[in-house]
Amino acid sequence: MEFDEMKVIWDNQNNEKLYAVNEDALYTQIKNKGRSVNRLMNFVEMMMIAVNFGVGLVLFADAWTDGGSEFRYVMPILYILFSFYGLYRRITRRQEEVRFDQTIIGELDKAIWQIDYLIAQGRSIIFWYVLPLALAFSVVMILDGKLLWAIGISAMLFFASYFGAGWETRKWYLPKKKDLESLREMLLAVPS
Amino acid sequence: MTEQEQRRIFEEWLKEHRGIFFKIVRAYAFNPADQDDLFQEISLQVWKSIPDFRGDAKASTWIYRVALYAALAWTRKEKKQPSTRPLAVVDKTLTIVAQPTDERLEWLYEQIARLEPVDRSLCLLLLEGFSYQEMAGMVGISESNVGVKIHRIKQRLRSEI
Repeated sequence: MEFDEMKVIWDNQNNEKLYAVNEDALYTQIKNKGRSVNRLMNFVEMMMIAVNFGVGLVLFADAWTDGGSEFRYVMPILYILFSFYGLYRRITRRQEEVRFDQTIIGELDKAIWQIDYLIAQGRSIIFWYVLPLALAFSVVMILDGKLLWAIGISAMLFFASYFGAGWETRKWYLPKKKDLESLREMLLAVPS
Repeated sequence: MTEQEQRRIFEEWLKEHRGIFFKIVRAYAFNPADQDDLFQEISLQVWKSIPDFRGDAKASTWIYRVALYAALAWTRKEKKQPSTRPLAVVDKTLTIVAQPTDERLEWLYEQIARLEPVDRSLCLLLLEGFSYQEMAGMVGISESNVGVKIHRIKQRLRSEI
């Protein structure tokens, strides 16, 4: 059979009679399955921005009403700065996302880039958020004369975040990234 | 874009182009549970793509590209974690209501199923009548690469006869 004959068979098919679609169930599934990487990124970003800003405001108001040392303003200001940094990251991320081609390779590149973004975000949360907060917390505890508590809790917080993020990257993100990269290679490969 | 508008477009596409959904489902999934799962995955990706659709390409071309990407990604996921879905837990979205009657078409789907997933997608596009240029634009590879791959696919199909 030649390819033209195959095409005739293909063109004459009518799959529409083979299947019935339950549209109500389909919309329910679309909503349930919609928890994609994109949604995860949006959720994490918005949560970080809102929580940092909210906590920053509360701590600032607390420091303002209670008075005392100027050092008490360091943590609220840090929180508020982190919320603005989160907003900046979100804006640049959304700008970056539109640069990908509307092709299958473009979709793959975008998915790979999104995984890299999530890995980088996890790292930046540790180094720009958990670490400074652990340090700030330590200073407050040391000023209160609780040196051992400061060292213990801060170290635990930092290492738990560090290894937790590393585990998440190895377990979820890197295998998925490798898989997408291998699919990309297969698409681009020229048969010899 | 409002969700209502998105749903209107999706319903319109599903009505007019459901044949594309079904062809890809048949080419990539081979039992009712997998066909249902893949149909949901394709529908989800098509749904999510609607706000990005600017009308530069025909809706059918757009749906084909998005659906093939969904099928390729689904196939790889499925390979690593084979289906263990209990059918009764969720409502099925896709039900087989009739048995295929055209033996030659069945044979053709069998041959397509034997191809590698990436070649399968090009084979479907070729059978749909897309030009090499259009295929290259949809996949994101060069026209010459498409040509080489298609040549191999045709050779492979011929050898199966």
